[in-house]
Amino acid sequence: MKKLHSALAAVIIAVMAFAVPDVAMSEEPHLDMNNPNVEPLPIAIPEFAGGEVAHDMTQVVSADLERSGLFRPLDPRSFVDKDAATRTPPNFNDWRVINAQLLVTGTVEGQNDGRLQVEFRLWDVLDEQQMTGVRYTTTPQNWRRIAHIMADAIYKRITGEDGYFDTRIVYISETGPANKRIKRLAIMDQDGANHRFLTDGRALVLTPRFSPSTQEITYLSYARGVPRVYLFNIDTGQQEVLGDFPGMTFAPRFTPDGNKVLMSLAIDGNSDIYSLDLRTRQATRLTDSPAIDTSPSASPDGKQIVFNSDRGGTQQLYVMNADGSDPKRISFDGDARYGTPVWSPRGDLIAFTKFGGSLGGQFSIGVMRPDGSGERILATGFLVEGPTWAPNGRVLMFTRQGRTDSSGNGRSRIYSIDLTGHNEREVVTPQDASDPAWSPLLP
Amino acid sequence: MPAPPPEKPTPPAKKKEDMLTDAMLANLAKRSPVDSQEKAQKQTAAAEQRASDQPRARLGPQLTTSELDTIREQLRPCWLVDVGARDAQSLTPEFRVFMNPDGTIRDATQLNPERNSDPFFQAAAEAARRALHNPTCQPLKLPPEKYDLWKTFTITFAPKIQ
Repeated sequence: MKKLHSALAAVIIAVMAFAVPDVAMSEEPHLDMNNPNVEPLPIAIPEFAGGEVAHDMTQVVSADLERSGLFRPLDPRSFVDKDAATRTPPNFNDWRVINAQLLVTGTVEGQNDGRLQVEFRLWDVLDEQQMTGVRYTTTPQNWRRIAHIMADAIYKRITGEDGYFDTRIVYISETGPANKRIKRLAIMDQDGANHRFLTDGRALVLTPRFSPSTQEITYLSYARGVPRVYLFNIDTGQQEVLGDFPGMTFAPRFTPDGNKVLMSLAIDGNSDIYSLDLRTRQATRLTDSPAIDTSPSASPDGKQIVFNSDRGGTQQLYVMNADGSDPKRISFDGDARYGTPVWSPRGDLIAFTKFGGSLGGQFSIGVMRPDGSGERILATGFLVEGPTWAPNGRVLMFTRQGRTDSSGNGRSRIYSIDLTGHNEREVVTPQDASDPAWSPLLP
Repeated sequence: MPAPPPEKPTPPAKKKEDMLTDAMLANLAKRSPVDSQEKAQKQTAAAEQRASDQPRARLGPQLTTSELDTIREQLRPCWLVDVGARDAQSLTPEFRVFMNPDGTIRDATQLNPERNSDPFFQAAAEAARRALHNPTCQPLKLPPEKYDLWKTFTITFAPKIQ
């Protein structure tokens, strides 16, 4: 026995002696994947159980996810399991065979107190795991918001980023001939639902902007003859003029903390940028140049402001400190002109409108880093302008107007586009539309 | 496979009186009968992973560049990436892949799971895992006689975004 042990030990030592020098000859293969597929994720969303409202909620969730360009809801006619909504866990094979990678199941039930109990689960079909599941209780009239909140939860679980579906858009609705255009402030959900007008059209209104923290809008109105910046409370319908300035005020925009409004004040043809504290109503002058300084937009940390100015001869973008010091030009493309800069809510980019330069006689919507590098054009056209960011900094909306016809009218509509420059979609409005402003996620 | 911990409730911002988030729903997925088989395979895979941390003896030729390209081309359609994610190029999950002799992927273990605390990284890692688990991109067309060379390999998903 001892001999056998000795012999085995000898063999093992011999094998080890053989193996060691061979290790350096080969390594585990390694592969780098660099070239991803940018197609949307196939997702199955069988109709939630619970009657008509469940059907409607399924439609809203599916439409939200589809419009984001990141998801591809599969045709329900391809579903093998016709009774999937309440099956927990799902029969994953039924979803694999139709190439679904994600599955959403949900139920809607009426409670004794008249409220709805809504629950949904998101499943990873390939990994056979539940990824998230949430239950909500709500009043029946809130069904649409709950559907948007569900779509936001799915979007966040898959991308890591907050969603933007439970948001609203305020914009300028336009009707009538070019020389007698009626412009009204209007508001709708980001998907076009729940549309309503906020002003009656008697006064010209322009450039609405959402407060990042309250249900308030700041905008320009000619209600008293002279263009002035107003504050409008969506919940109460109250309006008030902002500030007591001698000249005309325009191009308002809230600071990210919601405590101030940045705007331009024009006196004798010279426009400068001011900051108005909404609590003290004190105004502070931030620029002091003989040029036209306008369209201010603060960075998310509130430390810097981007604006456009023709102080260098043509209209360009500049970034300065929040107190107005140290302005630096950031836009450079030949004779191109830049305007309406908007700082991204996530801070990494500034969106703008551009005319000319390397694009010739066209308008475009683009983004660049706050230091002016990495300029990318996302959309071009006869007239595209006025970008506004989704609260997660991933999607932009802007105005796209077609060539004017013989009567001087051009079709004007709002479009959304992904930050990657893909997935441009019209946002359906009842009439011509311009100047969209995206709300933060609703409270 | 252990169930993931329940998700945290949605932020208080959503908690209006008439719209309460009652509960995050626990993972109710019950494991199917094939789980015990899967578990055994995963234990084998885990053992192989530990083994792979040790020096390994290999004889014969290496995988050729074109064979590696084959894997790349086959997996690419299943690697669906959110290129709009912030700093998408820095989201680089790595996996060790355990292969069956027929070219199908038996299991894949993430080698840098500690980075999944960043939700963007977690999203990228899950997208990579879906690519490796998607049956439509398998079996990988690799020479069976070289199975010993490709029975495990490591893979990094590092998107280059234009």
